[in-house]
Formats: sequence, structure tokens, C-alpha cells
Amino acid sequence: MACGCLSIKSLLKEAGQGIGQAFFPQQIRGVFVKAFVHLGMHKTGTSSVQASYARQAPEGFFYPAERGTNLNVDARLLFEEDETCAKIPYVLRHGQAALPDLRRAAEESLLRQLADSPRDKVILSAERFTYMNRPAVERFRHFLDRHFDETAFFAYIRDPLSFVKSSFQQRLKSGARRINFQADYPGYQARFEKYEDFFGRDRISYRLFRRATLEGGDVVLDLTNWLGSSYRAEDVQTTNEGLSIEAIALLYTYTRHGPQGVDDTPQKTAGQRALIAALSEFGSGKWHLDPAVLDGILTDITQDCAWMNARLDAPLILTETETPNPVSDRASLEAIALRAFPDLRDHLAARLAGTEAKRLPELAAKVDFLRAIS
Amino acid sequence: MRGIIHFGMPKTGSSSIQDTFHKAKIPDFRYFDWNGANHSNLLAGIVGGDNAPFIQKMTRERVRNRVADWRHRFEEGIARNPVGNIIFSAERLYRSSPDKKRALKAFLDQYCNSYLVIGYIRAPGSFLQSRFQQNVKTGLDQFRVKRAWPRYRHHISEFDAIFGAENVVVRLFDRAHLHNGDVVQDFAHVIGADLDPADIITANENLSLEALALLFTERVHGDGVDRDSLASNRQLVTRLAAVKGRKFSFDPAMIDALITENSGDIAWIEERMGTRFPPTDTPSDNTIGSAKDLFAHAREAQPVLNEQIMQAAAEYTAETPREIARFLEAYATGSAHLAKPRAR
Repeated sequence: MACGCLSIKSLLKEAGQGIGQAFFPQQIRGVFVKAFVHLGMHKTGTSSVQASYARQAPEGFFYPAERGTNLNVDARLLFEEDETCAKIPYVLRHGQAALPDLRRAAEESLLRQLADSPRDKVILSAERFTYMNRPAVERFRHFLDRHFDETAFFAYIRDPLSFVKSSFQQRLKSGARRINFQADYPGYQARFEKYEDFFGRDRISYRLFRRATLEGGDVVLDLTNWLGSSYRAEDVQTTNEGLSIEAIALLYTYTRHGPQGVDDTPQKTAGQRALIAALSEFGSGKWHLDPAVLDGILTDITQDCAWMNARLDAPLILTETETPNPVSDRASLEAIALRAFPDLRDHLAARLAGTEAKRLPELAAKVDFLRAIS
Repeated sequence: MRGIIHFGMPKTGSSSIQDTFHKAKIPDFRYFDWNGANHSNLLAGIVGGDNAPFIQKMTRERVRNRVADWRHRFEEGIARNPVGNIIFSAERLYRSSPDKKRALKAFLDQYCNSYLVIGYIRAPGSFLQSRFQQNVKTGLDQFRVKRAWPRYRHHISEFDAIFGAENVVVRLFDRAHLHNGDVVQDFAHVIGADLDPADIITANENLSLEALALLFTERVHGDGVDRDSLASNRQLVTRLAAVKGRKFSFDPAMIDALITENSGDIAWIEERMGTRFPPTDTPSDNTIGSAKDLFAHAREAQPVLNEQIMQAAAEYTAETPREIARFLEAYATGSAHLAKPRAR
């Protein structure tokens, strides 16, 4: 795959000779450019970091946000294989034939933003970075080498069982129908070792994602501090709030048994979004992995955790706090859903009844709801 | 055996007559033992009638088999317990074509050697109101009144021609004219059945103005009624029928205009009944002359709807995950429309 036919460094150096001015006519800036790459491990407040930085970058930093709050799609388009890119909804909308143009547009957009920026310190953030295969990471390295003078990587590490649970919840929230905890293993080594191999161990920094030890209890403030800058707490954007176990169990039951369920694509219907929004206000229950399931997980991830522990200041936590809600399989989730349903039912009815229908179709929708539950 | 054919007309207490005679045991009388008390579907099975809901739901072969099974059981029943009178009741018969009325007679001729055809006649104003209400209950999504005119002469003349006018009794549906002020007792009285008043079943699902306005709004702006939603629609209507509120009535000026337009028809039926219709209701503040009027009442009735939603939710029990999913689907669908208007 060809990528990166343009070079910011070379273009900036050649700006006085006309090429840069022609392509980046708006601004000429210093040559030394440093990239701070946020390897956003899922479930470590990454969305909050991205939403906050897209709205207000840390003092002294540039954060490219022309095409969204993160570089997940751009990372695929710039560094990954055609077959991977073909699955991106953005590509699906334009058609496979448009992929070369989409790749070039992504690259030009990113480089233009970087060239236009008055800052020489740039934050690049994407969850996708941790999922890219080795050839893609190698292309990423070429890109960084070509366009930046220095690169540093930052990653937050979530404790494994906490990660498994959070990932499991996220998958159910996204429409998963099968319960398979292996899909939720953190896979630390697989995520980060490739970066150590291509860039050197010393350029990758890890920090535990534990709310109690984060700066101000917040990952945005903590990361900004880690990067050597500061951030106002009021500028922090909170996103991707988790659901209670009751809400998760009910959502899973809906997906599994409903006529439609929750789509496993980002394009949810208005109804699905409304349901998830209503569920996000419901329940407060915590849950724990059923001991039988937990034993199996710990056996599977021992080696991976040892790899990660060798890179952290404090060891990963490998124990669970018992709650009234052990989860092991479909039946355990459905049992939680059945217990929680009466309260949810009243919650949803009150929410709908409490929403004033201003237009006749809205009023009709309320009557249709009444019919459906009568 | 004498065939007693009750043709309604629609909105004249037919359900009460049907439910009562379906259940009651009256010496020398037998009520056709069909799946339900109303023989409208049986009529469709006998004479053909593609619009009957139960026929729409099954193949012609299944309809034929169903009617053949019923007929076999019926013939076995009257062979075991012969009676002097057999009662058939279907308000659908009122508007059936002459061919279908004839086909019914041909069918009954196999068992009956005489007939008493009886129907109750409702005054046009109250009939149109009641008919509109009934049509909205079953899915009407337009404010259409004129086409519902009962065409008394047209339909009653057909019975007269087919069964003989001397065998057709038409009675004014008006409390003051009915035996003991009750249509079921009047029917029993006319056919000579010894009915215990304690056996009378009252079927009354009148809608208040608020309930009707909400239902009509659903018909026009909501999902409406289709083949798959017949059962849930019945549940909804039953629930809304329990909503207390103001009485629904049409704008008297609108009704008077229709009466003037059909004065010949009214003169004919009054002559046929031997009595005149009672005067039209006194107008109230809440008369309805258009769909817009109904929508305005629906908007005002939103608190009533909210109460019903809370009550229905409280009564909804989920014993299985599927029942949970059904409730959540209803919420997702309803919320989607609340979030975004539907294109129709």
C-alpha cells in the first residue's frame, strides 16, 4: 500500500521555494515537530480525552479534529489494508472504488491541519492504533518518521478483570448476542509489543488507569499533566458513560429476544438511541464475574499480565469484589433482567408519559406505545 | 324449523343480543354454535366475503373446511336435539349484497321452512355518530361521515324482496319504544323466547370524546390497524373504552344537512317502521365537525393518555425474556417517533 507521498518537514523546508506555499498557503511554521501518540486502549477514558481535546487542545499542543474527534478512521485509511478499510461505514457509503481517493483525502486533510497549526507539538489519538497489525504499525512508523522529528507514545492500562467487564458491557451495548469473555481479554502484549519493537521500548510510556490515582480523578487532566501541560477541569468532556448491570442485562435481553434489538453497527436507530439513553439513567448495580468464569479467565491471561506487569510501577489487580450479581452466561443476565424489569417498566413508562407530545405524530406514537403494552 | 335472522342494523345493541343468546339456554331455541357469538364470519364463510378478517387470514380451502366442520357439528346437534327455532345473527348482513342475502337464504332453506327476519333501526344522527366511532375503533383514518349514511330503504327493501316483507320486522332502536326499554328483552319478546333478564349480557364499549379523539389521532398519524395488529387493537380499544370523559357528538348542522339530503330515505323507513325517529340531540359545546376538531380534543386529552400509559405499564408483567423484549421494543418504537416525526 502506498501512503504518505507528502512530507510536512520537506514541504515546510521548501515553502520558500513555492511548493509549500502552493499547497499550504496559509501559514509557515517551525520545522521541528514532535508527535505525542495516544495509544488509546479501550475503556480507559479515551473517548473523553478525544472529545475534550477536539474541543480544546491542551495549552501548547495541536490536536487534529477536522474529520472527527479521533483518528480511528484516518488510521485505517492511512495505514491498513484494503480489506480492513472496506469494513469502515464511511468507506461503505462511498463504495470500494472510492477507497484510493478516500485514502488520499484523509492524508491531505491530516497534513493540511498539521501544516496549518501554529503548534509544533501534536497529539494523535486513536483506539485503532492498538488494533493495527504489524505491517500497519510499520507504515505508521514511516509516516511518523517522514512528518515528525520526534515521537513519544502514551498508553493507559486498565486492570484486566475490570477491562474484561467493561469491554463485555460495551459489546452488549453495541448489540452483541453471544457471551464470549475471550473477546474481552485485554491482550496487552498484542496491543503494545509491536510499538516497542518498531519504536523502541523507551519511547512507550504506560500508566495505570485507576480513577483513584489519576490527576483530579480524571483521565483528561491526568494525560494533559503527563504530557507536560495543563487543562481546565471545566473543559473536560465526559463521554461514553457506562450502564448499570441491570441496564446491560435488559439491553442484552432486548437484543437477544426482541424483533429488532440493538444494531451492532454505530448507526443505531433513533429508537435504539432513545432506549439506551433511558437505560443509562436506570439501575445502579455492580456485578462480578462468576468464580467459575473468573478462574478460566485468570488462567488464560496470566502470561499476558506478567508481560504488562514488567512495564508498570504497580502490579495489576487480579481479584474481584463480590456483588449480588454474578454473571457467567446468558441465563445469569436474563435472571438479572427479569428481576430488574418491574422497576425499569415503571421508569420507561414515566419517561414516555412525562415527555410532552407537541405534534400529532408524537401523540399518535404515545397511543401506539399504549397499544403495544396493553 | 323457523329461521330467525337478526341483521342488526349495526350499532343497535347487536353484540348484547349475540352474547346473550350465545350463552343462554332457552327451550326450543338454538343459537348457531359458531366460534364466536357474532355470525358475521360464519356468514362470510357461507356466502363468500373476502373482506372478512378471518377469511383474510386463511386460505379458501381452510375456510371451506372450517365451515364444513361447523356444518357437520351443527347437523349432528340438531339431529340429537331438534328445536323449533334457530337464530342467526350478523350485523354484516345489513349491508351485504342481495346475492349474499339470497345465498344465505338458500343455505338456511336446507333446514328452515319459515323465517322471521328482524332488525333494529337507529336514527341517522346517533347512527352516524356510533358508526363513526365503530369505524375508528376498527381503523378508519379519515373524517368520513357522508358515506356512512345507513341507506335504510336500499337495505331493508332487499330483505323484503328476498324473505317477503311480511316476514321482516323493523323496530325503532329507541329506549322508549323497546320492550322494557332494553333491546335484548325486546328481541326475545318479538321472537317469543322465554329469556331470563338475569342472563342478559351487556356489551358496551362506547368511547368518550377524549378516547375517540386519541384513537382517531393514532389512526391518522400513527401505525393504524393492519392484519397483524387486530388483537392488540382490540386491547387498546377496550382500555380506551374505560376512559371516562365527555360524550362525543357530531355538529348538528352537519347532521341536519345530511338528513335534508336524505329526506326521502327517512320518510320511507319511518313509514316502514310505523313510527317517527326521535329528534336529534341538543347541541353541546363539544360537537365535532371535522378532523381538526378531533385533533384539538386529542391534544387536550394527553394527560388522560399519560395516565393510561402508567396504568398499562403497571399491569404489564414479564415472566420471560421475550416479554421484556416486547416492552422494550414498544418503548424504542414510541420514543423514536417522539424524537423524530414520521413521514407518511
